[in-house]
Amino acid sequence: MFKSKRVRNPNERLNKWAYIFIAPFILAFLFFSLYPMISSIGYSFTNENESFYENFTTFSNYEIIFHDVNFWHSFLNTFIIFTMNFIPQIVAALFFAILFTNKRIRMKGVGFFKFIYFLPNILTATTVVIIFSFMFQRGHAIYNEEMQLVGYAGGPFTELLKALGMNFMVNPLYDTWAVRMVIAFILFWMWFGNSMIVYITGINGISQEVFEAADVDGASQWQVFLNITLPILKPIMIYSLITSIIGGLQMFDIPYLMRGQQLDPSTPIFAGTSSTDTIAIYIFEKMKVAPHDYGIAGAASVVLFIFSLSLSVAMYFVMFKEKNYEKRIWRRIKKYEQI
Amino acid sequence: MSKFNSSLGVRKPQLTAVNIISKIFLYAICILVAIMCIIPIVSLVLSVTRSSAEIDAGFKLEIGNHFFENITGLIKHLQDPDEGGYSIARSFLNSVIISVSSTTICIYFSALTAYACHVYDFKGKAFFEKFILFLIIIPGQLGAVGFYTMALKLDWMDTYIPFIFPAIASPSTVFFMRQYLKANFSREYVDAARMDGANEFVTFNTICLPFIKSAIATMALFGVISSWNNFMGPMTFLTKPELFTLPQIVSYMTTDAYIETGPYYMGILITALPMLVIYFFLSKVIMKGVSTGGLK
Repeated sequence: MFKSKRVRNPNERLNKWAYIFIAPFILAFLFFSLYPMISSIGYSFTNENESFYENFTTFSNYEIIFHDVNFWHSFLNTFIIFTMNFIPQIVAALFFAILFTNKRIRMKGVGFFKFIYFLPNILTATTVVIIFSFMFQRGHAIYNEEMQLVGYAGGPFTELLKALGMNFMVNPLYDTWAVRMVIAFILFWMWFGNSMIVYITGINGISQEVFEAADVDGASQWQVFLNITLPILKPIMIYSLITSIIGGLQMFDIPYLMRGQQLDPSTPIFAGTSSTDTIAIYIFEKMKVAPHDYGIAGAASVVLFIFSLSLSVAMYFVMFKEKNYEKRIWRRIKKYEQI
Repeated sequence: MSKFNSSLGVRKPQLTAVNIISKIFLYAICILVAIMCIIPIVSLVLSVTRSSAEIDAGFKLEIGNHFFENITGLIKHLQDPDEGGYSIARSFLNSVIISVSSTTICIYFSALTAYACHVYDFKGKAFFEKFILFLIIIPGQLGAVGFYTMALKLDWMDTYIPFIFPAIASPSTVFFMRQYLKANFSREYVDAARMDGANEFVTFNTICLPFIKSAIATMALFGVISSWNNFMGPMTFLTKPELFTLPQIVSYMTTDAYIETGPYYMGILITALPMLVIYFFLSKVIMKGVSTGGLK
């Protein structure tokens, strides 16, 4: 009761060691993360290159990017590529997760399929781009005029698309929408196995009794999926959606290298922007390529940050709200049994 | 799983014609998707054994006998001073140096931070733990511009500092270690070590680190994989050919009009192979890490 009478733990004096142990983390965080973040924000409000813009005001950089067609196109590209990748990804991941965990179907070789489906996720993005470009064109076709013409007749995937009745002008990799689809497919190919593993864990985490109770009540497979599996997986799916969006907004390597595969990297397909330029590429180029516009790059990353952070915060609220879903399902089942 | 479960609830599947057909259909889908996943990788592995002319002639799944020719072709082509004088062996070494050192640093300091949160009661502990959780959801892109200009000012361009030292503060690794310690590591071990008169630092190194081996292994795998596959970092900070990492060499090859297809494939396989080998032996650990990290 009385503080002075409390029996002091002899080890309490050792607690000051904690500060020594966490000091490297805090110092590294301050120096390598916090300071760069603050200075990025600082850059977004300043103008280093004075000859570039006259009449500079605090929000000039933001005005410039909001009026920059390339900025919006790179945002749009990111959004298009992400959506084309994510919808099939979540459908496929969910389908296989349910198939592999279903106690009635009892698939054989689940371990083998899991091994194979996750495999693409381990590869370096740079190598994946090249492997896929070989799937669409024969040989190393860049800048090789003869190859560019026959490239269409080349890779196995191009042949497959041709067989399915899709015709491209020269090569899918030179077509605005086709190249986006290829990138989306690569992302799908690399990530559906990863999402599948996450969903499988989620489904295995649902107590078997819930399924058994539904089974006893004579629920069909489809009813079980709609009324039990899907609602319980909802928080995991929202989590995976938000992390994918945050990751997708930072999409860099695959689109960046795919650009190298196009007929001419500087082709102004989209009023100055390649059809594969994402927001991360926009920031990278403003920062890295002369005249090194740190103000613009900073402003663009602040916009991206606010966008991502609001999504993350939304996720936290949703997850918090959905925490006790399993209990709610139980209640629903009990109610059903009473009727 | 158990007999008990199956007898109680789950009805046994009946072997009707519809069931058999739908099962065949499901297996067919699974096998098709598996082929889709594996065919690009198989074609890569097979292609490095074929000559450039054979590969250029068209897609075929067959083994050739030009493996060593492609290796020497790749090395010679990249070494050519007109091509920039790259060395694939040097790049391989660079990739190894960066991924091993950054992962080691990340693991050690994350374990240290997690250990401090687990074993000690210090002022601001609750805040610190919440803060780490908050850091996980902060997208890293914001700091890119500031970090790049800082690296320019401090003359860190063409050094490995920007890849190695920021790894000290890795919130998600700390979080993972903390969860692992919470579930497995009792404070009594620490008290016992203290009785024996061990210094706090020694206790961490000799009692805690060996105890959390499996968490370290999982996180080390993830660290090595993500560092090996990192492309944007090296593109931002490295400009000298002798410092290039493997993904950079691959990126360079995509714009190289003169490289032949066989050596080109070889360069890609060399970049991908270490991760494939790691995955082949440790896929279970990796998948387990994905599933436990899935809800962090």
